[in-house]
Amino acid sequence: MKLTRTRALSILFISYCIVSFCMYRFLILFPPIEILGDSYRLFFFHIPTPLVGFFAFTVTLFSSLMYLRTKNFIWDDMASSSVEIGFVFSGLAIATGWAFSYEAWNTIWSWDPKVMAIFVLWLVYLGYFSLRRAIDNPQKRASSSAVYGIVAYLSVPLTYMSTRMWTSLHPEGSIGLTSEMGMVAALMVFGFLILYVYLLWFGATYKRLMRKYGLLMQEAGI
Amino acid sequence: MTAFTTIFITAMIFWTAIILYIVSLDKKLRRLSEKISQLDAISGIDND
Repeated sequence: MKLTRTRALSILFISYCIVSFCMYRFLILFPPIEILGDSYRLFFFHIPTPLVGFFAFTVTLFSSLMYLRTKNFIWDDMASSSVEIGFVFSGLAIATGWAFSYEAWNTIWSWDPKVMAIFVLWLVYLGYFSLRRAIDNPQKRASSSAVYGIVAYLSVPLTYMSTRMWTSLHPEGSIGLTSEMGMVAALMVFGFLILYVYLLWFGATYKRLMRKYGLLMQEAGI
Repeated sequence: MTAFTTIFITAMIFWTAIILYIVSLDKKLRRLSEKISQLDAISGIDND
């Protein structure tokens, strides 16, 4: 199924409705929980943002592999757009983590393995942008960033598994949410995931059109 | 009004602003697409 502009805008609208509904639930309707009090409400942002970030980097991995196989620039557009979105969502995960940390432990930084791992992941993908900016030749840029996108993906499972490999402040199991709260958290993940789908469509379409525009201008000698 | 009602209203304003900004970017995308169609049509005439 081809994603047209109207369909993409519908997806954006659905995402808007889902996230608004969830915010109403967890900010207005849900009561404070034991131990964490009201600070648990931050989890409704802190849980979906890294998950969408990891998903975005997984799409980058797949698109990079597809680019190296087919040499079709559409895959390069998808890979680079997905990194941009993943980078923003990972940044939001770090920011909401800081906010929770300040609320719960009165400090914005802790040398927690997961915090360090996601920060390293963030820096690794920052390198992706530097690499793309440093290479002018489009084919070379696409190939190099595809290889980088594949290698950089190693940091994703490392971040995800960090709480299992080292002692961490991040809990492994339940954080004391009721099943209804868990459903809303899952709905937030879904709302952000479809926002990601829209943003990926937008980013990849914009890059494809800009490339075509550049070629047409070159042909016209402008 | 409780503190969380205020937070909710602020969050909704931010969230709506983000979505409206994205929609404004979408309009730019449509304009770019129209420009390309025009250029395509011109290059088509030249080719004839």
